Amino acid sequence: MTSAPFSSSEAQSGAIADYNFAYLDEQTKRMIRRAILKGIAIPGYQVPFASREMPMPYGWGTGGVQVTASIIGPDDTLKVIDQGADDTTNAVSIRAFFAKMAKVKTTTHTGEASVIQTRHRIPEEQLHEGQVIVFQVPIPEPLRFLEPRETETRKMHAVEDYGLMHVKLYEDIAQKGHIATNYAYPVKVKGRYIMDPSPTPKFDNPKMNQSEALQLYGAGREMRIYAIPPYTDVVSLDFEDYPFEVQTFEEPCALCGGTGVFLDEVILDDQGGRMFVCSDSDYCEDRRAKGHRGALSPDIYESEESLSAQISQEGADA
Amino acid sequence: MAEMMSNNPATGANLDAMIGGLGDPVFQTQRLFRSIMDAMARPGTIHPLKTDAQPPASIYPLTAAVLATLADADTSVWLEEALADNSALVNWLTFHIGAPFAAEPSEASFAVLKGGKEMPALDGFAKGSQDYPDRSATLIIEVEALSDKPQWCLSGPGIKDQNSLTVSVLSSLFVSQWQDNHALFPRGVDIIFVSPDAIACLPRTTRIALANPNASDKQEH
Repeated sequence: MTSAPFSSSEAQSGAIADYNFAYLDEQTKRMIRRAILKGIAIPGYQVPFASREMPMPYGWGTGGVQVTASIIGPDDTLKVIDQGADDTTNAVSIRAFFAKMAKVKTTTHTGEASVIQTRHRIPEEQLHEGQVIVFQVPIPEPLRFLEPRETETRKMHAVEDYGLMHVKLYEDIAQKGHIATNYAYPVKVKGRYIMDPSPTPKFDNPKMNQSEALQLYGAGREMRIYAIPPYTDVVSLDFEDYPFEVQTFEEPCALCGGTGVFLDEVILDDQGGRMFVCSDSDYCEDRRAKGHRGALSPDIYESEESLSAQISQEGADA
Repeated sequence: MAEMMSNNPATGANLDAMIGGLGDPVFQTQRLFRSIMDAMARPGTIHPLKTDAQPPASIYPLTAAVLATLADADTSVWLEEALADNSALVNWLTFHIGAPFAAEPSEASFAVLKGGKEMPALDGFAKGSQDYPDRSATLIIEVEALSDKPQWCLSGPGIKDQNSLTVSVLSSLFVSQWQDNHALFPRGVDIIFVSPDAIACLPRTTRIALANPNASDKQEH
């Protein structure tokens, strides 16, 4: 499995163009790999890189795809999630992209994956040493909405001038009574750089702290790569009298009965019917396979297939 | 005979420089990079590596392979004096890597140097700016051996509690130079130590404490 996987016969048959392994050319990979190493050496600092055009539009995860393409090898097993789920459009298409362009094994099981590319969630199952999680980042600069000029935000990072961010959080409290940021909640990495954890719900912020897995962040349109090594302090910004807290949910997952996990609202009909289910589809399926059941669990129906069919039917009706 | 082969009078090309490149470079450099990335993310961990690169004997094959994985025409490389004077090595690196050579250490993205007592001071290499701390040198330092015996206790990002590392042999000034480098954060240089068969990394975030010799005795027993 060390020889080039794309034979000329494949190219001639028109099945696949004669691309390099994992789509990117080697010079691009080296450039991205150098940025990744500097990102790891300077946790939370956004390393500029020469982002390439990818065969998908910006906003579809081109940054994450370039990072994944630069690190992945034939021995890897890839998992891709979109809002926690393995079966949504972005996840399915990126997984198919790498299955085709790198011929890597793919999985939906968090524990089996060596590389996990994610759009906006960190899996519920604790990541372990040796895993790499690659985040797709739309806007890497946490100060961008407070200060639009790159020249200024760069200076602010250089001299660690983060007062503006604390003013923003304070104004939230003054106007709304609490810190009204539920996703892309700013964190401080290793006591130095303030970093945007990408639009993950703040529910996932505690998982970033002292994570066993290496965290890599790629922003294609904004041309930035940043990283958090394993076992690194990642602190969500807060105030002594308004400490950081994560979302809580009143009811357990309707399918697996899971608690203490991030739930998505699923609209069931146009009469106000709704259910809350795990956003992490692998976690939910794993629990159901082990016999856990929620209020609307598949026990009520004949099989899981009929339930998902019914949900999608109901979704379509709504 | 070998001398006749080494220079082609018709083209002036140096044929010796053209042999000994990395076989299967796409997959070999991917494998090498993943080890370097893992080593940088977990400072002080020792990663055994193999390569089929055959550079001139003045550097380890693994050093050449690490350089081929990371450097190219976009990055300048500085060679310490003894290496820069070696035309066979310079020709080999030029053909297989194609990186421009930096005249001054402070201008280089990558520097290749021998560990040992005479190693140049870390202070002479690019440390990046406060605005762009990534514009700093990565030093590829050849050492005789790497082991996890506790000469140094390492701590910092990427390290759960402590990692121990012994690098044979470095200048006695290295640890104090490294402490200065560490104190510059976010500026500073990063290091890839290369032994004949393994690598270990020190990103600028890592703190080095000299291990208590008594403690090391206990661990060895």
